[in-house]
Amino acid sequence: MPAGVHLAAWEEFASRFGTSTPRRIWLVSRLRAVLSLAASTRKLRRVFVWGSFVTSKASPKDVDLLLTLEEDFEVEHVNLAAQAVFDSVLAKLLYESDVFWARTSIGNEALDLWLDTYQISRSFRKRGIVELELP
Amino acid sequence: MIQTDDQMLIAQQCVANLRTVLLEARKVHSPQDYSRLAEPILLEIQQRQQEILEYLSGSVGQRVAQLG
Repeated sequence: MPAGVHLAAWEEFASRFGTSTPRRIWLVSRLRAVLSLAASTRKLRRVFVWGSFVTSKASPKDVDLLLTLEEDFEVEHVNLAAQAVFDSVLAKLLYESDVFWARTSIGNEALDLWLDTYQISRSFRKRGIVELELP
Repeated sequence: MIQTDDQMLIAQQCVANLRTVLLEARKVHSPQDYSRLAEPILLEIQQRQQEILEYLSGSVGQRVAQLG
């Protein structure tokens, strides 16, 4: 995928990245669970996915994602199941996902720096990020 | 793994970017939420800084020998 942030609908995204191998089918089910819990907070604003899951690799290790949430979001105010999404250790264990998150009030400048950073792979290649359209 | 000076500079910029994200995040989250969200970012910073230190710990001659 070329560098940049690419907007995609869930159906298109799941069809492209979540069907070709048993590993991908499993990981997309984990991602669906994460997003369902995050959406249950009613504070989810934006979702970005990057890393090996959005490449052609047959067996990605995990899913890397960034969630932004409304300014009044607080983890302790959401149900226990959803709280796991915002605990990096639990999210990794339960959902095989590296979940990064922040309130939108960190500002667009900080968000852009964050996205710029994850557009550079650990092998220093520029890579794309997918932003999922929310319903 | 960092193999060139340019890559090291990029890695340093990534660390600086993540530090800025944390500085902004700590202004707008509760202490508990900041601790939660900072954990994976701090780990990322630590890993990238380790790579920078490993690169800088070798001389140019050693690097050339490794790449050759």
